[in-house]
Amino acid sequence: MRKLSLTLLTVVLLHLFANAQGTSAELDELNTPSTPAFTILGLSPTDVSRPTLAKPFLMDLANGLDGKSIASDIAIETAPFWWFPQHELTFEKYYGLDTASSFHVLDYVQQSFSFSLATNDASPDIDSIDSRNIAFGVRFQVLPGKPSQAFKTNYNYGLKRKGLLENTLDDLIYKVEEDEIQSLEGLNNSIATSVENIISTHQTSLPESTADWLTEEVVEVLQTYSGDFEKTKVLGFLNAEKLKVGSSINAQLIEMETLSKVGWMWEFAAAAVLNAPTNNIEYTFGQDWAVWSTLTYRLDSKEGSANFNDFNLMFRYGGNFQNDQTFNTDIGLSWALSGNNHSLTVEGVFRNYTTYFDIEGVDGNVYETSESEATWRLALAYQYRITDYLNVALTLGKDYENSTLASNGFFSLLNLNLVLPTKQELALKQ
Amino acid sequence: MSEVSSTLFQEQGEYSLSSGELSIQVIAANAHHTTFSIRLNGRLIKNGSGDVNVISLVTAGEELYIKANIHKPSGGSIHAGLTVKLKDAGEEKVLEYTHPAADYEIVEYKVKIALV
Repeated sequence: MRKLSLTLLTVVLLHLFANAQGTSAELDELNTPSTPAFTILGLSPTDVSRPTLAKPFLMDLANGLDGKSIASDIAIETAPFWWFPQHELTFEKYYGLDTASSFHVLDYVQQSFSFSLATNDASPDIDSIDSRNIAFGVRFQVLPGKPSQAFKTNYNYGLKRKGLLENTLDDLIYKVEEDEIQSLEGLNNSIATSVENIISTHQTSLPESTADWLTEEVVEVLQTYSGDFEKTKVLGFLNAEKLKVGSSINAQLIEMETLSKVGWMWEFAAAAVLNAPTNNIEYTFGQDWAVWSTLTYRLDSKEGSANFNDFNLMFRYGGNFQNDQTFNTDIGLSWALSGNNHSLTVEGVFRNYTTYFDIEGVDGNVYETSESEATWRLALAYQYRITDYLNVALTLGKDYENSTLASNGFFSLLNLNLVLPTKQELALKQ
Repeated sequence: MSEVSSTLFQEQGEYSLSSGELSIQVIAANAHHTTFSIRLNGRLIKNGSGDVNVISLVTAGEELYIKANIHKPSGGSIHAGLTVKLKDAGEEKVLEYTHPAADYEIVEYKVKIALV
């Protein structure tokens, strides 16, 4: 007999020594960036190893699989495409800023294909048997979204700055070539004139702060020069530095990765769990499995804002290897809104269990029939950041009554998180 | 981080002036982006990114010096090119430079044009 109950728990947790990541009460079952292997185990690890090269990935894996036993709480996700240098791929091509080149859907699949591995402790409380759940997952995107306005602005801004620095170095190169500069002192003294020249003759108007920024950048570049003034050596140095200008904008754009895509994103994922009852990799049996697809629409936020507003629609089909008669179908909707100091997530999933079985008819023949049961989950999470180190989170909802997925179904209502800074800054004695 | 490669092309040209007001247009072909600077007898008159269109007062005997760093889009055998269009009251002159240097990430052009 199924028992419907509205779960309303109030738990106040004071995480005095929580790490900098915090233990926020986020609901991310339906969000596109969730990792399949963690989703199927119902985990939200605060630290996921995301190796981008083959060697660190294998090392992470070897550390997790210590001999034949399996460490608990492994969380690895990796995308093999990024293990190798992608010389042909540029930012503008990857983000769709370059309208001339278009991607095929298979390119998106290849770039986003990732696999994940997660483990957790599955030992029963009552005895000392050490057992593990090991989950494997894959996911890929067929629609990657389009670049956000903030990303485009930053990209154009980065290009502009790059151009300014290149032009200033070119101006110094010209002066050295023409013997207008003949000493290191002369080179340093020319910075101000070159910056002024570049700003005053630039084809577009520039903000007032540009001159200061440009001066600082050029001074920084010239500081790395060592040795005496020799024309060929200085020219070689300046030309080499000019070629390096691009790497700083690359680093800046890579940092923006998570906020860079908006619009329609469509992801497919699959995951399965193996249970190792004796924590031995040679003795395992299959548990839950699921395949799902998530369609997300992310609204573009205003320029300069880190807000996001996501709508997700999820379809999932799952079962259990030990019970090949019962399958569940989930349809979920979620809305996640995040501002500077708050985030709100509303998530609803409708689940239908179907059990197939054979019955013997009065005619003596065996007929296959099925029976369905429905259940649902509705949850709301709100988080408010009081200070940089203190936030309060409210989570409430009703979970599935019986689930073959993520069976640890209770969630706390009120969560007070105190996040200690990882680095204490001390003032220097005046 | 892989090393950025560049190649340099030095070009010469000439333009017969009919008046003292010269329109200079610099356009890069097959470029991801371009930075350029234009000098008249060594004096910087314009710099920036992208294509440029500038009008300058000139006199015969002066030398126009155009420097363009063309950052090519990666991949493919695309040849970065540079077009310089000069026009005053007289006829327009179009100087086109294309080089079979597809393996370089930055193609640098230094173009000296004598104004006669």
